Amino acid sequence: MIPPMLLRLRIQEPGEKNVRLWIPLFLLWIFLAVIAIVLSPFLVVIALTLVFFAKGRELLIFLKALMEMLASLRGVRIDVSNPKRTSKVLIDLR
Amino acid sequence: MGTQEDRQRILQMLAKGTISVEEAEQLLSSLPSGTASATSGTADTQASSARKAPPKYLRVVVEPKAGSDNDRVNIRVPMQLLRAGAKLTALLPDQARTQINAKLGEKGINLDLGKLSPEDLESLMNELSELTVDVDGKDETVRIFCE
Repeated sequence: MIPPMLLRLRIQEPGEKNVRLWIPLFLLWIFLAVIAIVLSPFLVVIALTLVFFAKGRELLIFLKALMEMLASLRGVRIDVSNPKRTSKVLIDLR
Repeated sequence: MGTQEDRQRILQMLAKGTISVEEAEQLLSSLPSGTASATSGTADTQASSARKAPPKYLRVVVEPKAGSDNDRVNIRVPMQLLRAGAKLTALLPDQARTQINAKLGEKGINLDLGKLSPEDLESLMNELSELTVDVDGKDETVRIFCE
């Protein structure tokens, strides 16, 4: 599964400046990957410590579930609007 | 068409109990593929209902009624996100899981979170395609469904 690559954000409030953003999330994933690579020696030490204390399985489950959740965010859409007050909040992960 | 009559005859035999579901399925599959795969809309065998496409999104729609100042809300959540979140129940401490199971039991839900296998979860997610919640409130209507 591919994590969301773009975040579309739209905030519209009467009397306020409209916000329309397209945020490239793929840059965030690249940044997180770089951070993970840099911190990998420490993560290995933490993982080995957890395995020593018989918590390695929980760590694997957590990491796997976390990756699946990030990848599953693609398609999330939250749309709140009020036609009378012409306000709108849109969060769309693509 | 002759094949359509054959199909209806098979379904009538199944309805009367003359043949079993497995035999009906074998007979239907032996019909020419152009008609055997078509759905007449008049019968729903157990085999066809088992092959429903699993739902992809959970939708929550709140529509304000005329004259109401409430917001209109439209939320779409991928079912895959729910699956991934459900897997996190494996990380719950035993004490928390016991309390949750007890609370569920009080409400008549005999579900042990610790024994929820991936197959059970998948079956639960597939059956959610039939879920529809309609709440007709004073100022808004709420719909929860899967698509």
